[in-house]
Amino acid sequence: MYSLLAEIVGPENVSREDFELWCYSRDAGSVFPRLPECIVTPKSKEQVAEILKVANEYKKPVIPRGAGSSMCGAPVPLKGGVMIDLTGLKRIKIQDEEGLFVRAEAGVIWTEIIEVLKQRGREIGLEGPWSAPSATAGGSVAVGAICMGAAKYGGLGTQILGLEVALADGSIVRTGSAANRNNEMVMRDCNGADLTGLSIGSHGTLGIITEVSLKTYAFHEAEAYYAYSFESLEDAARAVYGLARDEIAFDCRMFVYPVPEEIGGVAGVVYMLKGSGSQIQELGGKSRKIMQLAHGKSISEFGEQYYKGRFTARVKAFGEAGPGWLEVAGYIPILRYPAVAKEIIKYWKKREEEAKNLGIKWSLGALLETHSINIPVAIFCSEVKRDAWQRINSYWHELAELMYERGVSPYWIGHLSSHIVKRWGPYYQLYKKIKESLDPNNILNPGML
Amino acid sequence: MRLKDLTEEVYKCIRCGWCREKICPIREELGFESTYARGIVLTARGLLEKQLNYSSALANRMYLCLECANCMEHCPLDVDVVGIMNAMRQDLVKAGLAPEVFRQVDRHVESTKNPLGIERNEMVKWSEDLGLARKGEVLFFVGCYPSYKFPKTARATVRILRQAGIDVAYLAEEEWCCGTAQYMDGSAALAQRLMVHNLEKIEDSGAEKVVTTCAGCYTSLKHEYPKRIGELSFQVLHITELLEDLINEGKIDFKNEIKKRVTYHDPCHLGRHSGLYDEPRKILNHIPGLELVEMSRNRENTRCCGGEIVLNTVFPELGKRLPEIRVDEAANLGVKDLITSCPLCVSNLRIPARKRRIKLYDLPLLVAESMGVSGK
Repeated sequence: MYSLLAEIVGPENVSREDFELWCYSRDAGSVFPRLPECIVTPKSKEQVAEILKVANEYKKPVIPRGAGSSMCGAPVPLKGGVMIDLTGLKRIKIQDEEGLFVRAEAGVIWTEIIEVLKQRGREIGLEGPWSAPSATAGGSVAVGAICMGAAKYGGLGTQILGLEVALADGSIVRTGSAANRNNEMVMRDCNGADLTGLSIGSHGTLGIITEVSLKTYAFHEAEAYYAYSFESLEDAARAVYGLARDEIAFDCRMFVYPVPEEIGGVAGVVYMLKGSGSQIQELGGKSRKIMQLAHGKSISEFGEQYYKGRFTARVKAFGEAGPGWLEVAGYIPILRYPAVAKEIIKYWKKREEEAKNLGIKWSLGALLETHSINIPVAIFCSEVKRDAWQRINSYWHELAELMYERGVSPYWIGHLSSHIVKRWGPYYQLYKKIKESLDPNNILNPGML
Repeated sequence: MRLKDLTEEVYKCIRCGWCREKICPIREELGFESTYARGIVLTARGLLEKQLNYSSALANRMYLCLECANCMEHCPLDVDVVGIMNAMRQDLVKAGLAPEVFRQVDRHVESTKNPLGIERNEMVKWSEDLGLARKGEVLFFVGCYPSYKFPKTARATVRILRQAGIDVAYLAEEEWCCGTAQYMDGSAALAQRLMVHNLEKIEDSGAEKVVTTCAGCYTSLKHEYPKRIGELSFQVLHITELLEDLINEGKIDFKNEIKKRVTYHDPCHLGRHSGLYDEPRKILNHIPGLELVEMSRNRENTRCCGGEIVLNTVFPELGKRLPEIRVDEAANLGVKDLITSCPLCVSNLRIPARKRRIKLYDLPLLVAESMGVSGK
């Protein structure tokens, strides 16, 4: 099989060296690593399709991987097999003059899409996930990543006009309007059922995304940043709700534990506005009223400090707290946030002493997505400490269970979430049936579902 | 420093991957994880956790890194990738797994005191008619490349300094290789011997200032000598720093107009390793008639032009490609002249520059031309 793979991509693009397998054994999260059997680095969708045909014939697991900067273990090869590094698929295609939509191959990074569009006075609404300088379009869509700008533009899926996906049998499907070979990927709602949606968040279990088509918008230069301190979770949630209801913020986050010293209080809310100068002024005024009604105290310097280094700040925070980390996250209605957050805080209070002794830290925050709120609970410890490491895995499972029981819907699947996934009931059965139909030999990221 | 001493540094990496795309020139060409910083640090972790062992294949991979430090420039957590790489290479040298070309370079240095393996008596040929003193306040640490390969740069430097009223001295045959290549390739003990020798000779010369045109020698003398053998009793200056001072003091007279539109390539050792970005640009902006335009990847984001010794011998295709890419970036600006301030970069860039009909200058040559002291 390996010689066949070498024939497809060239021998220089296949590796079975032990150190290479090791380098592909994990993502940015700290899910226990597993080694693939081989790495291939294709440069085109045709090569991806050919690799799939070979793997399907040999019934070998195939694990697609973008930047490997996910936190959920999506590209961890749970059953070994062939790891496909998709970062070699890196073309950006802007076909209409103004760039009302942009097509990016799976391996293109967010910052590059943003830069290319900026030159044409356009932007994609979202700015990519926490790892935007490395995260790829294909990988982010495959895990349904929550991105900077979700308060205004929603989940990543809402911005996708169509996908090109290589299936387990090696066929390539273009979804939405592009199912018509004479058309482009400009409209998702075509041709009956939304097959684009099947791949969004699928973690590579149903097919390998080779190209993504995204909506674009007029570029907005002006930005404004705000930060407020609150003395209760309810007030903070009400403030965030107000921003969502009146469609004000481009991005909005809540800090509950720890609340940065510069903000203080029980909870902090930071948000960012984007638009034209006059829009910013109007939205700024509205948002200040919402914050005042919810008894927020303005800490404006922190908003600017946080958002000007918006990607760096998060990586630094993770690095300082960990750097080993796992995260439980999912969506709920905004006003249910305080009740769930209090349960999570209660959970940690009971384990305060033990966690402290093991050097384990945790954080609780929130990210606004147009109509809902995402609750991320991150658990950190040094990856050198094995006992702490074992313990944060059990904390993770307990928290995932607690949050699911209180209505939080996770958006990641995979090794860590296996016990949650099976509780989906009929939804899980349907997912399995679709998977069996599209991938009868179960070669696509097996073990994820 | 050994790898185990860098454990904390290795575990600092959270694998965000910001060091991957458009950062590492090797990764851009080869594509695999192990070819750039995230994979390098993860490999180090595998070695520390005894999940991996050193091997020839691993050695070949680890010696690909150019230590250009662009990954460190973009790392939000400041992981010392170059330190980790050097520590792994030390282990590889100890295990006898370093690629043959490095062992050969070490043998050259042992016997001739320069990595090129050229006989010692060739070293001072460039200076025979210049009557340079062996002792003085300002010492010119010439470096192996200017001494053996680019004597015009060395001669131009002396002429510039003399014209500015500096009676420059040098160590002549007593100058040994600065040790840059050795500490980078893991031959720490050999690097140490070279450094101790040079330090002793510099101190004997009574120098208060040591100036060099080589960015590699500069980084070595300025940063590695104090780190490895203790505090220095003299100041280390790159020629661009000294020239800037001399210009500010009114001691440099740019007589000749040079009507050229040029671009400048930041040497990694001078830029990212030492933070000297403004000095060469200020000098160029002082030259009458000269217009400086920037390549898209400049200053902190400069793309490394390659590493001649290892790439040309072990990975010749890569050795050819990397300088070509950098010269193409310059050519795309429509310039006909490319300036840098390191003889190692000149050595890397000269063949593709010639092919693209771009004239390549080490900065002192251009300064000498404008001062009217070329060829004296």
